[in-house]
Amino acid sequence: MQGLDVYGLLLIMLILFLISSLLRTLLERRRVGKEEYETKTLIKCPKCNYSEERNFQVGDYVLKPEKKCPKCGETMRIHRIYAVKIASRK
Amino acid sequence: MYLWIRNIKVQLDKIERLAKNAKARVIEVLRKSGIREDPENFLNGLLQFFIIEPVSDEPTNLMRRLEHLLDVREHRLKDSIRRVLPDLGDFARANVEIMIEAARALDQIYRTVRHYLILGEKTSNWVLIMQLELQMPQIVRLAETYFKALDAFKDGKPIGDGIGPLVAASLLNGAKVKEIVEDTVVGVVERKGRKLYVIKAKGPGGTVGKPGEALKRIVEDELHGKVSRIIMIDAALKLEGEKTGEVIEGVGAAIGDPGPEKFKIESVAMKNNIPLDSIIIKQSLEEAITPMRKEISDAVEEVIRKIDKGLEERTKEGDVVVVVGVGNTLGIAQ
Repeated sequence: MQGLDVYGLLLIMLILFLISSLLRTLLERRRVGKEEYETKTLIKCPKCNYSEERNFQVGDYVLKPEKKCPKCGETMRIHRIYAVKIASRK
Repeated sequence: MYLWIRNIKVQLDKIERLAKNAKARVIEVLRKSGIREDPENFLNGLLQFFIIEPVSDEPTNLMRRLEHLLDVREHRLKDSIRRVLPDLGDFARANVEIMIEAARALDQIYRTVRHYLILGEKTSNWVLIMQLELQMPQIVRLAETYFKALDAFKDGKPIGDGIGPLVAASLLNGAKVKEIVEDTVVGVVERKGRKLYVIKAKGPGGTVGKPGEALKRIVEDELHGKVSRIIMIDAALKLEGEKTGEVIEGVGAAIGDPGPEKFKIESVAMKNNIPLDSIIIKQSLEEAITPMRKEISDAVEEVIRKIDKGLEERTKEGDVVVVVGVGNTLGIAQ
């Protein structure tokens, strides 16, 4: 009778361990998948180095001529296009 | 073994969903681009398109034979897309081409995993099943990476692998370029009193060009071997734990092609006794084929500082140096 209790206790502990491992794995997977990025376009004036950052638009490419520089009137160009991490979901 | 098989099937379902979604996205792009035949039939014809590698037991002309087959494959793919999408511009057509490549990679992963799973089940080979089960997390990660890459390819966003062409474009800074070989351009700029021939793939469409052939023509046909140094810039896979965007120097041909381009670069350097320097920018496979992270983009200035330092320390004023920006030039013009 006492032996059965010990085995029962061991079985309960094993089940609890398996459930906690499963939960840990699920939480870990969710944590890993949280990183999200958005793409930004940096426009720069080649003459006075004035720059502006905006969201990427389809059709953008590096060195594409853009609008006139608000400071010196020179044609600005797309200098860089990059992905930046956005705030994670918690 | 039953639990392993069950787990593999769950993961395989995920890969299948990714492969199907990728296919659906490519079909949607083909449809929106005004394809002139059934997009599904067209894509299915390309997904399992194969290339038989040349005989390597007889090494004579092995690289030339491989290059020939790669050229034939590339022209077949390009011509097929041009035939069904004749009104699409070069930029958009190149992007469709790499989207098809990504969908093809996903389809290949799905079919390979399914093959080993069925084979393991049929033969009750628990070693095969165990190996597959242990590799599944990495395989799923690879499949997810290819799937994420599709967005970048669809919108024409520069990817991490484009860091080489981005450095080349920064060096050229709008200088006049000419297309020296198919999909590859060269421009000449002055820097630190040295004459720099800068080679990159022709952007902003997604292509890697033929940097080896371009280098060969510049060094042998135009400059008759009178080059002081060759500097190659390329993205390189980092080891886990290493920092993304780290810039490292070394020697040798920094290029990850199947062989012919690297062979040409090494041969030209050796034949003309030109030192071959390399600068690599570290990143993971995921970072290399998804939109370029800021850390990688920020490495451009560091790479240019290293090029300047190399020019000052290892060449003298008036020397001619060839700089090759290797990688996919998606979203990067010149």
